Amino acid sequence: MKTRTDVYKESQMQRVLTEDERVSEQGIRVSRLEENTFALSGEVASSKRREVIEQVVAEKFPDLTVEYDLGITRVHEPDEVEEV
Amino acid sequence: MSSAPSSDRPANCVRVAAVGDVHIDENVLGRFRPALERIGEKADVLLLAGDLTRHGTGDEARCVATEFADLSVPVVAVLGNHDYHSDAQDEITKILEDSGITVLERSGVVFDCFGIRLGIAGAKGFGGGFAGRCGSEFGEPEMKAFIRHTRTIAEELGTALHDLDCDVRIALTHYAPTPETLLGEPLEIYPFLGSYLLGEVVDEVCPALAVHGHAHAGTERGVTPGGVHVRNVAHPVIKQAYSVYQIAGQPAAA
Ligand SMILES: [Fe+2]
Ligand SMILES: [Fe+2]
Repeated sequence: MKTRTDVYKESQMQRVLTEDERVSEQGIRVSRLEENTFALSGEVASSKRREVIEQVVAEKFPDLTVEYDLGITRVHEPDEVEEV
Repeated sequence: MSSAPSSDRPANCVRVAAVGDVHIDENVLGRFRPALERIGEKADVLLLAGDLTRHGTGDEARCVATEFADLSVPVVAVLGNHDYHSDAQDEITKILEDSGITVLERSGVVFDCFGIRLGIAGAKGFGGGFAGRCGSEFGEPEMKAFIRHTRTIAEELGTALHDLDCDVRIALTHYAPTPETLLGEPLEIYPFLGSYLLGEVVDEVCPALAVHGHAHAGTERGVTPGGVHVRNVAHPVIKQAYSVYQIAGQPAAA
């Protein structure tokens, strides 16, 4: 039986994103696209944070291909008021 | 605080601005400020629903104070799990309070909003899960401590909510009191995102609104089982500097 070579990588990546002090992000989704290829998606607070995430993931998982879809959360004034 | 209402301000209501999970560090410093300068035209109070910092350090708390203090409206915050990461939650609370931000933890505050007394009770909250899928105070000490932490916070939040002497009540937490505003998050992590124990105490008092954060991939709108409106204001959920909720209220008869 052929085993996946990338088992547990999603969990390891999720924990690095949270526990590596340079990142400390809990809101990023890790998904496996195909063998040794992963995607990170979500929103972060600044472009610097996105850079750091890409750098740390490349450093910790040099053998994996990672596709990034990380947006920077907008900070405009609201146009609408909701009545509750 | 009470000042002259602007001419286009609707009568007999309070306007509550809220955002959570701003995760301020030196790289985020300054991003929110432009949208906050005129907040007094849009809202009467600003609520910060926890995860104010990235790593929970005093330095980051000073960045939060720079970003959110000295606005034209009162600012009321609870801390989130990130704000506890460096065991500096007391220092963070002190830095924020010194800057004029009110920090609630199982406590409440009342403001006069143009004659309507707006009461806010707040606490960090904690996890444990929701109806039929929740942890119990059973087994290992770690498991008992986990759920006991949530239960204690919930009970004391309930007391703080109940004790508010006001016309309009709001519950402010970091963790969620209902699963409805978690929609979009993986089901498997719901027990880490909130607890029915928070919802239960909210439903006992029935505030006009319950505001929380923490669930970055959740949904803005939901209700508790008892019908209280809940809003998840995590910044990646609302995708703007803050959301504004208008709540009808009548000043108590003199
Ligand atoms: Fe957060
Ligand atoms: Fe959080």
